[in-house]
Amino acid sequence: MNPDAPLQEATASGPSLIVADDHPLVQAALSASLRQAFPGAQIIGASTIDGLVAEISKAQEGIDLVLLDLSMPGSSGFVGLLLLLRSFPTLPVAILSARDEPATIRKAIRLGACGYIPKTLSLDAMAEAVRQILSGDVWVPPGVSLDEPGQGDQDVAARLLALSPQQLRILSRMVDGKLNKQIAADLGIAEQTVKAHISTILRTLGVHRRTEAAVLVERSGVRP
Amino acid sequence: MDAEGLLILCLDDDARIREGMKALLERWGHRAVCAHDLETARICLGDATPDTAFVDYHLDSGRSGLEVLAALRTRWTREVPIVIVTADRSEAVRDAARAAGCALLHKPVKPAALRRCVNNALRSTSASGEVATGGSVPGESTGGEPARGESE
Repeated sequence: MNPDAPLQEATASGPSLIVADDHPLVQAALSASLRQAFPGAQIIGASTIDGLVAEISKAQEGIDLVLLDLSMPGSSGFVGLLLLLRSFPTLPVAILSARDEPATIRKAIRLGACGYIPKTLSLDAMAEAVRQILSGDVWVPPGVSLDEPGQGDQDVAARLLALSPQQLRILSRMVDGKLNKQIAADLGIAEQTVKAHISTILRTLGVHRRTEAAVLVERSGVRP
Repeated sequence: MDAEGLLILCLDDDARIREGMKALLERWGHRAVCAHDLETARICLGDATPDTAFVDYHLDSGRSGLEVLAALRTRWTREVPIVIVTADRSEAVRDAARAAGCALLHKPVKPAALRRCVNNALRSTSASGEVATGGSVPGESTGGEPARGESE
């Protein structure tokens, strides 16, 4: 790295990218294509949200971009994206997804993703999208307009955004059907703490029961 | 057309940093006010409160960026999300930024990380956070996250 070059898109040895997708073929193909497009790049793979968070924490701000699959385990639609964005406020995160409905794309960008890359793109087009995102652009597929919010979308998005990273972790497990005891064990906290967080989460989301929270999350995003 | 751009203060004693950030911020549709010290920042901002600020931790003339920031804040009319920018990767600076409630960007500044910070500020300042148009056209920016530290 050259501290004398004030602004640059990547270190001299190429960008550091994380491909977070639980399909080995996707990870392999995309990693190979990115290595070709960005000589000297470091490509790290992750196949769960927890693994992804561990890699990012280890790298200490050395990551240039995370490509996140919405349907990965622990992703629960947009909950995984939000968890990343809240935990790492200066980290660029772009979505990688098999789904390409404009409404989903708009939601992702509105929540703070730096781009939305459908898996239907050619590998060359994906690499080009990554290049543009690294240069600071917000990338969406051509023809997708970002200016049509639904009032309902906004409400759900706003409520999810009000949750802390720890609350998002708990919500994600709750939506996956885990019991308080399991959530507490997963996160290494007391069951009482989980219960307290869940009360706050339900209140923030404006619902009264866990099942309603799950429905809200499902409505807000993508389910595998 | 874009939503209104943000007013963004760039406080850094390195002219290349100021120019580089200004170029990117203007490309994304925002107004960048650049300064190298407290006095210049005060003159350039006038009565305005910026929507966000990128502040160099190690300023020349012995004042730290945080000290200049504290002085500027006395005249600002609302909470402004701040990003500390520094080549210093020490724990001390990391802790100082966290204690001051600021996000942290290391130099060399990466455009995508800068964009993230700007989008965070966009979301926290605008009620709707909506911005128009699609495609990867320079100058498009969109709603993002507030850049606040979270304590559990």
